[in-house]
Amino acid sequence: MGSVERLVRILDENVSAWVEFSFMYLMLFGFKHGIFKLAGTYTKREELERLLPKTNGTILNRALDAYAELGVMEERNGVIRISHPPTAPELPWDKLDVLFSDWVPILEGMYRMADYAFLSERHPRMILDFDKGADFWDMKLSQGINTLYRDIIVRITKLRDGMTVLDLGCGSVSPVEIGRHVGPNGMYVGVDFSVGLLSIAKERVKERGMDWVELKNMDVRNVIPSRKYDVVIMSFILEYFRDQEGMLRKGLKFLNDGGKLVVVDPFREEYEHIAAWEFFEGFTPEFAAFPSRKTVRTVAEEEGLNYKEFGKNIALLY
Amino acid sequence: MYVDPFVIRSLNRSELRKRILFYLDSIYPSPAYLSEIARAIGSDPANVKGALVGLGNRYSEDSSLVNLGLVEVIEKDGFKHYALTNYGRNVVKLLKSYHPYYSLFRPEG
Repeated sequence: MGSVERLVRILDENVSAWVEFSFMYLMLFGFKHGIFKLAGTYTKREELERLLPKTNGTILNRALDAYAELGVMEERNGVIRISHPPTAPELPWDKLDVLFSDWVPILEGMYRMADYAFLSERHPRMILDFDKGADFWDMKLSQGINTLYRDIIVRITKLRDGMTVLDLGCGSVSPVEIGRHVGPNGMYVGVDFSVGLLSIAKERVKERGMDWVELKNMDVRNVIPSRKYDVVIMSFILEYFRDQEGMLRKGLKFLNDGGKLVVVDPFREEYEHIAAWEFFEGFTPEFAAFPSRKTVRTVAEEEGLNYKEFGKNIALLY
Repeated sequence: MYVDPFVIRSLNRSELRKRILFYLDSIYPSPAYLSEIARAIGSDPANVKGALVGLGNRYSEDSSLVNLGLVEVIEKDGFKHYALTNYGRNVVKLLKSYHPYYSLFRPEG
């Protein structure tokens, strides 16, 4: 499929496009629900909630916070107003051919969920909970963009038969897509707190007879480092923790001598409009914030480890 | 491939539609006559027709397997055959993968 550098560039372009489309969807959300129209009349935050019909205050406040972070709105003396035009969403016009198509319906699905959440966060169509919406999450995790970053993980950690891997927050797809590279003589241990996602993963692992794959249902915060691994994977997991440094240090405790920890998450410094994506991801109850590159690099430096970046979303600590 | 989870959930709750899909998957890519499907899954042809294309008030046309794009009708020599589409095949694969999950959680929708 190409060199690691090329794959990393494709991943970066796709994540950038995802962020920019999220920004466009968030703008549509504001137009559709009349938020901008009212904000243009110098309204107070609490008045907005009263004036907008069918409004969930929590979601409205989250949207207002996101608009403020994106430079679309500002709040002065309690009054909300539209601020100077923000930087417009940018699409990679010269690289449209590297964009995957399968993340579009996922983002559309999340946009529709934002509408339902605006009515009620408990609306039955809100399926971003890892257990109640494990089928939706599985489709999210099965997208080409996810398969791409798993491929990059396999290449940069040089995964092969006989190696041992600990995947923190493994979800339903990685146990097969990453686990297959270390079998039959190695070991892949996947940990996830979602019983739903693990039930899907277990079915697939069983179907393929991958008996070197072990799946554990627990919160990654509670995993005890009883053994060490050649590779520890933390892909799209740091975003669910407030103490991201602490989680990284915890991950490092599982590494054997010469082991590698790989982090995959959009580094927030790299994406000007990341707040838009965070607005949509925020419908997952556990979501905290996307990590910064600085956090990951600082931990590596403080722990005396080598640190290598692969584009805007991947870092290797070894 | 993305499939609306609510479509899969709805199929999962309908034993008849599920059985038709699984049968057509087992003979894929071959098509089958209505009576052949009914016989294979042990159901009444009228019910099978309802699930495939909709029938009166009992079987909604909107949620019929043909309307959902899971099954296609092939007309040949004045006879209608039914075959699983490629999309339908993917949905069957997901239905099988999600079976343990749906048994555990019975999600809404």
